[in-house]
Amino acid sequence: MTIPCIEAMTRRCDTPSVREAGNAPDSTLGERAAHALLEYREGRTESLDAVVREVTPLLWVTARAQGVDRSEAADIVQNTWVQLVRYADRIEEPRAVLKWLLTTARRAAWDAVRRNRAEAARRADLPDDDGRPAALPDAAPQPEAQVLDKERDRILWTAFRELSDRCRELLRLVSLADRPDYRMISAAVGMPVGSIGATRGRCLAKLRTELDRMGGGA
Amino acid sequence: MNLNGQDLPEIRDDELAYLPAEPMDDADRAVLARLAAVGGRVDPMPADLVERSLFAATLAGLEADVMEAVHLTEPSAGSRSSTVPADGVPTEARTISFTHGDLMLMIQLSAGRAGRVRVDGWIAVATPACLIELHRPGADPETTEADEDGRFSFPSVAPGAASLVVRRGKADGGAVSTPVIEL
Repeated sequence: MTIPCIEAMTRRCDTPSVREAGNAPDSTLGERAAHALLEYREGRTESLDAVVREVTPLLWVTARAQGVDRSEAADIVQNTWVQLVRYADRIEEPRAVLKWLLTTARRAAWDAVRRNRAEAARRADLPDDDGRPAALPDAAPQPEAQVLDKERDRILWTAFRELSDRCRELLRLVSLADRPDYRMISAAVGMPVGSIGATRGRCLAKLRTELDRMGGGA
Repeated sequence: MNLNGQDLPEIRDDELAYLPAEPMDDADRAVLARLAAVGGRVDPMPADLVERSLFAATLAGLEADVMEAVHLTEPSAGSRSSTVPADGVPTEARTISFTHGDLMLMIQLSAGRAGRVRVDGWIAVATPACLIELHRPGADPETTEADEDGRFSFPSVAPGAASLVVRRGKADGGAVSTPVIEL
């Protein structure tokens, strides 16, 4: 699996540890993303394709967690990748590119939410409005009975929805990523974890306590 | 704040039944795995989002200036960046124009055989005989050359997202691309 870092001798290979770690079979998502960015800078796009496949679900969750609708979230995710390609040579910390991606999607979603609120406020004054109240942001949509047919899943989702917005976002992301990416994801979500290594963290401790209360523990 | 209007008292830190500072155990990992599955069912990611993201990244990597769509014959059709597919199959011809600087590109989309789309284009530019590429998600680009009058066509294209790229020499302004359009 390991591709020798030939460029190290002659060209930019300023972060050889990232390069090697990105190729290792037990690499984290953050390491693979960093490796892909370095590869992309040198004209090889295959690694980035794989990272797009892996990280797109995290960007989707990030955008949706800020309260934008599905169509807008899809636009934000696509545009995040466009930004990465455009700024590939200018991203200062390739090592932290996963955090960069999550932060870029998050900010774009905030901007969209702000725009939508301003638009909704403006429309509320118009007499020819369709009469329906502006839709509330559906950051965590109601579970549909047909979607969650198992009692156990419904309890999990209900317990999850009791958590704060940030805890929900963090746990959804962590659930989609490898455990060692916890730190980078936490930092991107604005809840840095102090210690190195994958501790349970407050959000997961809360979710499990909530699950126990509801009788739906693991 | 709870966006769903349910302001139940939150669990306080001294009420936690599990220590946040402990390493994750198997039960933690099991809860996270279930959460990933349940979350994916409650709010599934659009099935084509990865393909569209790859397409958007590829187009961005062409470093072509993006043209502006100037006129649509139908208000509902034309350039779009959302992942919602166009309603149904295009049955009548639809014309879209794009500009960038002194370059003008007009394309007409009409129904081809077997649900495919015919693209007829005309390009008005100071130096004709440029290459036109048609990019689609997950496929190699098709290339054709505009004739001396600036006409070109792609007779049979699969419906879906696409972007046309006009290749000119660096001195003539370099490559330009259309926004993503729905064929």
